[in-house]
This record gives sequence, structure tokens and C-alpha cells, in this order.
Amino acid sequence: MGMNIESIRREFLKDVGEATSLPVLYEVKAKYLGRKGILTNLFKELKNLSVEERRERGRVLNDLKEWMEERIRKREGEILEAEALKKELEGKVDLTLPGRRVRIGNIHPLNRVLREIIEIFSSMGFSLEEGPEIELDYYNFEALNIPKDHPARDMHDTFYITDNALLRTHTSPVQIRAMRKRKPPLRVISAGKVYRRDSDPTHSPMFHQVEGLLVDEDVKLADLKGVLSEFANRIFGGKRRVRFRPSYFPFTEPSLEVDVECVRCGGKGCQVCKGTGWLEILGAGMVHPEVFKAVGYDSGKYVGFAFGLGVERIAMLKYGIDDLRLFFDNDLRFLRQF
Amino acid sequence: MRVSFKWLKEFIDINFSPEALADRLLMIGLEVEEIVGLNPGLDGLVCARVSDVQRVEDGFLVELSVKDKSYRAFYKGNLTLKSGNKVVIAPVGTSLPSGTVVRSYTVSGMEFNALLPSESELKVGDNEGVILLPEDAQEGESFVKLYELDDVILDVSVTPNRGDCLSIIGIAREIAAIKGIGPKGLLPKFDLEESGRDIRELVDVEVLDYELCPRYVGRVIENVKVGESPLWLRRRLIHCGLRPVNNVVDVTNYVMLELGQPLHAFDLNLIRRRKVLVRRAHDGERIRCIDGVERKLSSSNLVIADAERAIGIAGVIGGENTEIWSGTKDVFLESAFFNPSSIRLTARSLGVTTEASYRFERRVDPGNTLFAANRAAYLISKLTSGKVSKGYFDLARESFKPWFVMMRPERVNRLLGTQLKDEEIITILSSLGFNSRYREDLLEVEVPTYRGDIRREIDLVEEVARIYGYVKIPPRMPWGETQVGGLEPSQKLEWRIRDILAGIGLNEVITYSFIDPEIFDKLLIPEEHPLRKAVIIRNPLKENQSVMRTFMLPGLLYALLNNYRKGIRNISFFEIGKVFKTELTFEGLPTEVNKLGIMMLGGVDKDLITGYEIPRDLLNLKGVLENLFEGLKIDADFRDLGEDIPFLSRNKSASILISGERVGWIGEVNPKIGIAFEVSEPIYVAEINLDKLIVFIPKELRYRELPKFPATRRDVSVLVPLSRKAGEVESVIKSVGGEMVEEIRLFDFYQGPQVPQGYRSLTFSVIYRLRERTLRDEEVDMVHFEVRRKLEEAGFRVR
Repeated sequence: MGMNIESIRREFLKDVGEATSLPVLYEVKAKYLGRKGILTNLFKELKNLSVEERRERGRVLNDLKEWMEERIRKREGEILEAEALKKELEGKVDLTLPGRRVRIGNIHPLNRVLREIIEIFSSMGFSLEEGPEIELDYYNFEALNIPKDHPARDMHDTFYITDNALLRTHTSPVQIRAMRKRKPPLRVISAGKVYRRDSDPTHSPMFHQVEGLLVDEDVKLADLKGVLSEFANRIFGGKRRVRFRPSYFPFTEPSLEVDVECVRCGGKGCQVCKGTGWLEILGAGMVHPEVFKAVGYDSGKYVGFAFGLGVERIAMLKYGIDDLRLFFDNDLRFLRQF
Repeated sequence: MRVSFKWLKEFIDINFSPEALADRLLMIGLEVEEIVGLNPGLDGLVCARVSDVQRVEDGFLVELSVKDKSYRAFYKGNLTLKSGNKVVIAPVGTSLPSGTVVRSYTVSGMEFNALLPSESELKVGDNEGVILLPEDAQEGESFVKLYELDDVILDVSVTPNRGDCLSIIGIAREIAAIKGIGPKGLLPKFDLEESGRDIRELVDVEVLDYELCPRYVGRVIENVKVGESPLWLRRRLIHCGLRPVNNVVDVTNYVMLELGQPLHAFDLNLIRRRKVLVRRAHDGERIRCIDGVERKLSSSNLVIADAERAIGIAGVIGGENTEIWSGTKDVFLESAFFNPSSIRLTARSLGVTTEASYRFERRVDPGNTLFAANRAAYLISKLTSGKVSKGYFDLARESFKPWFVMMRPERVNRLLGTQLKDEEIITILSSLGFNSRYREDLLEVEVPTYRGDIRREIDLVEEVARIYGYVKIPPRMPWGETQVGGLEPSQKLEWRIRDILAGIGLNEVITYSFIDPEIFDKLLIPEEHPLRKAVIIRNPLKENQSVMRTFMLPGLLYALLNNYRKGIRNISFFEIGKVFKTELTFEGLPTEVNKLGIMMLGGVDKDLITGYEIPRDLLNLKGVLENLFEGLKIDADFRDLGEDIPFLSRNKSASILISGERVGWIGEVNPKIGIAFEVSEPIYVAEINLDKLIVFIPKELRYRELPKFPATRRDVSVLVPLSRKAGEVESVIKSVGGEMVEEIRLFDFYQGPQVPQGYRSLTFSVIYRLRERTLRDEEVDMVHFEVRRKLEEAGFRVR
């Protein structure tokens, strides 16, 4: 019987050693430890033995069983490790190959910039107001102190729909709409498409503007300077010099234009700024009393400022785009850069 | 306006460079757009005296002298030079604008060492011949000096409110303000001598419409000799962008540039019955103008007329019939103040803008009308040796005197945020020529007649700010009631859509809101279709940009074509924008609707590594929309189109519904259209009405408890006839399962040999779950059995 155990043990070791995959190993386990396994059968034979023999034999078989289980567990570990190693080594991936993906899309550069502009003013307490793109002559001109025979209409080549309706030439009419709708204090911006009858390399018949308006009791030109300097610094980044100089718009007085230190050369003078070191980025001013009159605000009590800027211009400066037409050609090779 | 730096310096001391001047002007609101130097390296050219002219073969041999140096020049072509004439020569060694340097040269064996260049060769004028200089030009005198090419021109952009700056004197006044010295004594000084007959013996002048012509001044200069103006005058005009004509006309232009007052000179002897009338034109009255164009007038136009006919369109352009010509003997000179709006309307309606109308529109100085007439009369008599008649006409109903504007000095500081003292304000005002004095607490400010833009307190505040300097105003952040900025829900929706669509691979485009009306035909849209009811632009730039879009497809299609033609194939675009409908709003404006348009080019995507091909088709576009709706937390259904969208393929299109409301459509563009545009791949398109969609966007998201009880899954395979839709199967399952059905998922789609002809096999897995308890198997079995039964009943074969 002792010999028999020894040969079983040898046989088992051989079988386990030859098992190089888990299924084979589990067959081996069944062969010895399964319901009809060799060891199981030996246990069954115990009942034929005397009590003493049974105790002795039982101890030997139990040791053997524990030993086998231990061997199988160990072998199991070895096989798993070998298989993992094999998996790891097989099937190289060349990661210089292109990835498998749904290619990400893009938001149009003008809208990207527009969002940035809106976020900046929004953080200063301005809320967004909307107005129609086909606008009444009254809102676009008359209420903004630009009567029919005003030479300032030359600055706006207008597309007309009827005698009274036109494609808005600026976002300023939204000022009027906002003021007629609400009482001061007021902080609104408005953004969107505007149209002028002008098409050449530097003018598009459709372009985008952002308009801002702040009305309150204690507002000064100094505030306008503060807000617009802050804007210029945030949209172009860094501490940039900003320059305010007088200009003329019929709906503001005093009126001014704002230049920012050239984003390309930092003020030394280059092609982008035509050697001046400055780039004009927006027009602004204190709301004209005639405009307050048109909306029924008391210009003795309230003061306001307004500003307007061209989104294309800001986008061109920010991204170094030198051709306006690119914005509306919608060439994917252009769009994908944003 | 082109301003001569030298001319300016005749009126006011400027002790800085043109560049520095430009900077200063900019900071008070006069933008110098360009500084133009006139001397393109012509320094070597000098005045020479002709000593001999000989005809030689092919031309002339001209002997010249410059003091003790002598030159020989060969001239090919006609020559009428005489010895003693002064001409311009380019001696050996000088360089010409063409880049060549003059060298000695030989013609017919003769040696030459100078050229006789023309104005056009030197790019200083139009004349082609030898440059003949005035008799009094000095030998050796520099050509640059003689031609005033050492001048610098400032191209000043003047805003429409500042008509007073459209002259040398106007700019000089601004400089006087910068310097703080005030405009006193800036005007040119001259002594006008009246030596002719009394003007009233020579002409009669009458103004019939003082509204359109508030002031009219007439003067007469007799016995003029019309000829070429002196060189200095011609050069000034040329440098300021005007063409010299003759000494009379040139003076009127010169004085216009100098003082800002446009003037007109008539040949007095051509004025019929020597009667000058300022009246409205008769409707249909015609006049041939000095530019050779005949113009038809209406009664809204003001004309200058004689006893019989119009002889000029007031303030705009003169008539040919009374133009100054070489034989003019007596000149009637007009200086007037015309109504600015009237001039503007006339110029606009006739489509002419002249130097005169440009200034009249922007208001000339009504206080300066006579002075300008005198100045011009003086110069004309001096240059033409004419005699100024005694007296003048000065017809006006009112007198044009300075006016007063009351001002609260503290208002300046309140509006600007400055701390200016009253004295500082008064000093600034006086530097502009505005005298002021106290009336109790107010300042009474006297405004000179040339500043028509200064009428109210705010105008004075701006003047103070401008001259004080915007730069010096300290910036501040606004305070007062704090306000929360932010976006309207509609804008938030737009941005969310952009983020989602860009995130899943679409590119945003922006296309013009106006489209080509021909697109309607190209898209097979029948007459009378609502999409054709477009808002029409009355004055489009181009016919193909003449109507406002009624839908998003046209712009997207052209964006697609623009890329397609460059060989790009993987195209998926979206655009958010407005479309316009002819129905009017309560304000009487066309209705604007916010839309989302999406367009995709069909094709096949191939996996580079495995070689698997995945189609890019209409279901990809649907997938985009499903992603969009999931991102927006909206449930949408895709149903039969329900209406005819003419450019979509009939059996490849659907309506998009949310809670039963139609918010848009999706489909394949009729291949006929694609072929017409030379696109062979299918084009997919969808359009969503964002104004409708926004209603369904949940205002707030609410969290739903995660399921606590297990789900049970049952599959069901059905054979669906090709004529019926997968959605119908889902509807049946949903209607039977009710709230027990948590999800229905199509997980197998098969159409092929193992399925009967005309059918596809669809396998759905149905997830059953109740929120409040675990479902028993028997319950699920029962419901699922009912599902199968109802499906059979509905005509589907359950396998």
C-alpha cells in the first residue's frame, strides 16, 4: 500500500508538470481529486479497514490530498502567470499608427471669440439682450440721433427691405430696445450679425458686432475707460496699453475710439498695425441726451455709456488671420484650426 | 482731406514733425490716415536756362546752362523751346523715379549729359512734355523746391460733425487749441481793392428760397485774363488732390481748401439778362454740368439760374453754359451758405459728390461767406489782373452771429470723472475760441459761427474732454447696484448645441443670411411653396445675394460644395442662425426664426487596420440628432414626414417630433439635386426650429433614484415587412408592457438569405423592471407572452 501511495504521488507530479494550461490542469485535478478520482477512491476504501489502520491510512491520505491541492494551486498560479506573459508579449501595437476615433469637430472661430467676449462682459454684470436682424429704420438710425439727411448715414451703407425696414447696420438698435423695455440701472450687451452694403477684401456685407450699454445714476467716462481697459486686457491677455481718443458717433457724446497696443509687435510698429503700434478695436462714448430722450430716460438723472466692437476684427487680431473672407468661405482646413 | 504741411505752417507755427503733429491731432479726434512725402528722390533735378535749340536728326539738340555749367540734352519729339526759357533738367548722375540713373549718352555721334524729363516721367503730374518753368525761376534752383515737393501731405479723416475742419484754417484752429493759443488772427490777411464799376450796374441777384439758401454773396471781377495759374498755386492744388483748370477756377478751389468755403465762378457775360436767381428747380428741368453730364432735376433741388435757365446745381456742381473759359472777361463769383440737408439730398438723389457738396453737407461757416468771397475776389484780381467791382450782394434773412450755450462747470467733472477747476475749463474753451463768462453759477459760452456742432452743454463737455485729453481721465470700475450678467435661455441652448455637435465631430460654419433666389429652382421647390416666400433686399450687392434665407440648407450646401470641390469628402457641418419669413410681426418686421441646420456628406468610413467598412449614411445623421437630444435631455421621435419637403428623397426622410410637436425634419437630399451640383455621394440634411425646441428643454434637471430592484430581460425576434417600420414594433411592445418596460433595445438586425424575401429580422431585447419591487418571473412571462401575441396580431411574425 505504501508503494502504491508513492507511485500515485509520482504519477500526480508528472501529470501536474505536463499540464501547461488551466483546462488540462483541471482534468488532472479531477483525475485525482474528483468524484471518481484516484484519491477519492482510496478514501472510499478506508471503510474496509480496521479502526487503527483506518486512522493511520486516513492521516496519510489526508496529507496526500492537502499536498496535491497545494501543488495544483501552485501550478495554477504558474500557468496564469505564463499565460499573462504570453498575452503581454503577443500582438505588438505600433502607436505611431493613427488612433481609431470619431474626429472632434469645431466651433466657428467667430463664435469662439464671441463667446469669450460675452463671458468677459458677463462677468462684469452685463446680461445679453437680443434684437432682430431686420430692423426698423427708427431703431437703427432715428432713435440713435441719425436722422434721414445725416451725413453719418454715409458711414453705413444700408441694405433696405422697405422704406422703414432694413438689415441692421450695427447692433446699437438693441440699446434702444433694451432701454424701452427696462428702467435703469441697466447693464446689457448684445451680439450678432450686422450688414453693410460693402464687399471687398477688408469688408464683408455681413459681419458680427458686440454692443454694450450701461446706464446708472453715477456713471462717468472714467467708468467707460475702466470697463474697456479691463476688456482689452482680458481678451488679448496680459497687461496691454490701451489708448482712448476722441471720435464721433451721433448717438454718443463724448465719443471715443479705443486702441490697444498692437498684439503682434507690442507697440513697436509692424505691418499689422501699419507701423503705428496701435490697433483700433472699438468705438464707444457716453449715451447722447437725444438717445435718452427717444427712450424716455431722464438725462438729468441718468448717465450711460455704450460701446461697440467688431468680432471679426478681434478674431483676426487674436488668431493672426489676415483675410476676412476666410470666415465665410467655411473651408474645413481653416475651420479645423479652431 | 489732404492737408499740406507747408500751407498749414503759413498760418500757425508748428515746431514739431508731421508725425508728431499727426499724433497730437489723433488725440483730439482728427485721425491722420496717412502721411505722404512728395519727394521721391528728385534732389538732383534743377532749373536750367535754354541757351540754344537745334534741330537734329530724329529730334532736337538743346544746349542749356546752369550758371557757369553747360549741359546738352537730346529731345525726341516736338519742341517749342526758345533760348531763354527755363526748364527742368536731370543732369548725369541724378536718379529718376523709374529707378534709372542718368548717364551720358550718344545720339548720332553726339555726346549728351542731361535729360529733359516730363512731369509724368517724374510722377509729379500728367504733362508729357518738357517741364517749362516760370521766367523768374533761378538757374540752379532745385526742382523739388520749385514744385514744392519738399512738402508733406497729411491725409486727415474728418468725422461728419466737423465740417469746420475741412480746410487748412480749420486744421490750424485745432492746432491752436492744442497749443492753447486760440484761433485769433489765424485768417489770411489781404487788402481788397475795389476799382471796377458798381456791381449793381453789372448784375442783379435774387434769392427766392431762403430756407435752402440762407445766405448768398455775389461779387464781380471785371476784365480778367483767363490763363494758367502760377506754378505754386497749381502745385498746391495738385498736392491737395485737385486738378488745376485755369486761374479763376483754381482760385475758387484754393480758397475752398484754405477757408472751407466752396465758391463758384460764372462767366458773367453768359448769364442771360445778367440776372442771378437762387430758386428751386422746376420738375424735370435739365442742366448740362461742367463734367459734361446732363442731369434731370426736381423741385427738391436748388439751382442757380439766370433769367432763362439753370446755370448751376446749387452747392453741388456748376453748369456748362456759364463755365469760365479762355475768353471769359468778367466773372460773377458766388459764395453761399446752402442748407446742409438739402445739399445732401440733392447730391444723393443725383449720385454726385463734389468737394463743394461734401463741405456744404457738413455745414460751412455762415459767418464767413463774405470773407471767403472777398478773399477769392482779391486773389482772382491779383492773378488775372482783373478789377474787383465796387460793392457786393449779401442776401440773407438773418444775421449769422455767434450763439451762446449755458454750461454747468461741475457737469464736466460729473460726466468725465475729472477734477477740473473752473479756470481750467475756461482756459480750454478759450483755446478753442469760445469766450465765456459767469451768469450766476453758470458759464455762458459764446460759440463761433463755424462750430455748428456746438449747441448744448454736452457738446461743450466733449470739447473740454477732447482738448484736456482722454488719456488724462483716470479709469474707474463702475459701481452702483451690482448686477448679475448672463445669458438668455435661448443663447444657453445655442451654446450647448455648439458644444455637443462640435464634440461629436461636426464643424460649425457661418454662411451669409442672404441667398441666391435661383436656389429655389435648383432645389426643385415648386412655385407657391412657402420656402419661396423670401424677404427681398431692395438694393442687393449682387443678384445672388438678394433674398433672405427661408431655410438653412442653401448656405450649408454652398459650404459643402466649396469643400467638395477642393477634394474634401468627410464633411459634416452645422450652422445656427436665423431664417426670415414674410409674415410680419406686431412691429411690422419680417418674422425671424432661430434654426439649426446640419448637413453631412454620405460615404464609407474604412477602418484602416481591420479593413472593416462602416457606411456614413442617413442613420449617422440621425445618430447625431439622437446624441444632441440626449445631451439636451429631450426625447424625440422620428415619424413620417407628414408634409412635402420638395428637395428630400421621399422614402428617406422623417419629421422630428417632441411630445407630438414637429420641431424639424431630416432626410436625404434628392439625388437629382446632388447630381446637378456634381456631387455623386448622397447629401444628408436636417433642420430644427430652435424656437420650438427650446420649449421642451427641461428648466431644471431632476435626479432619478437608481433602481433598487433587479431587471429581467426577455428577447423577441420579429420578421418585419420592408413596408413597415421598426418603430411600430417598439410602439407595440411599449403599449403592452406599460410601466414594466424600462427599455427596448434593438440588438440584432438581419436581412438576407435566412429571412423570407421582403422581410427583415429584428431582435429586440426588452428590459422589464418595476421601481418599487422585484418582478416575479411569472409576471414577466405573462407580459412578454402578451407582447408576442400583440405583435403577431399587429402583423409581425414572431420567431
